[in-house]
Amino acid sequence: MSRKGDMDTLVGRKPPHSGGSGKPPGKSSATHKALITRNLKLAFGPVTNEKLPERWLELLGEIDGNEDKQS
Amino acid sequence: MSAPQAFKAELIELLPSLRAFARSLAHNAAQADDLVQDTLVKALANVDRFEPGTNLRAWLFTILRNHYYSQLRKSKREIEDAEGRHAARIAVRPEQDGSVDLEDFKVAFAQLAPDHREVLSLVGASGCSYEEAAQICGCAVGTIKSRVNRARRKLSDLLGLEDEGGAMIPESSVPQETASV
Repeated sequence: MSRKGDMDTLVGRKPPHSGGSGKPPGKSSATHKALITRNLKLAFGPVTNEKLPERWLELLGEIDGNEDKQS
Repeated sequence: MSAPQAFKAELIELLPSLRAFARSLAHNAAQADDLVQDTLVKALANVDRFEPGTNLRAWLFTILRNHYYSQLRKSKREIEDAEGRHAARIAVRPEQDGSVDLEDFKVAFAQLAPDHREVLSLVGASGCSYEEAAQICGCAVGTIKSRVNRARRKLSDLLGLEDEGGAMIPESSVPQETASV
């Protein structure tokens, strides 16, 4: 096989989708996906329950002020 | 309810998820809250540019994201961080049952490049569709899908999660319709 052919074989080769280890491919990938998703929600989900700083609500009060001025 | 009041009400409703997105980009809560505050100031200053009825969440997330990257370019702190301070601090190993300690997860997540953190946060934590994430990040849907896949793979590596048989996580494992990480 030519050198280019060797490289094509190496670069283009994909992991086998069946056989070999006897375990279904993508099984652990799916597990990792679920694990990552779960941990993302655990890591950032509680942030959404934190009390909002007053300074943000005061900023949004500007909307009321602008509306009063216009009316 | 007047249009400004409706805008305000929707904005308040979105603040918690905006804050969570900021927290995923910034490395501490104070910096994240400053990001949200700056985003609010910008949003209020440009409220006339927002078209009622369009996606306010995407609009706000985009403002926050752009502001974050603008700050990042100025400070370069994040780049130094990515080059190893976090990495040098710990070596993450998965528990024997395949679960991962949440603190280890957070540390590993913090080691990801900002563009990887943002897509995982948008699609995985914020529940954005790939289309919405693409709109926020200003790139193609396909780019988001492959970026999510690469980010997930990198995170798996950092967490020491190995694929059985050494198989890579295939692109096809990313759902085409439903966004998930």
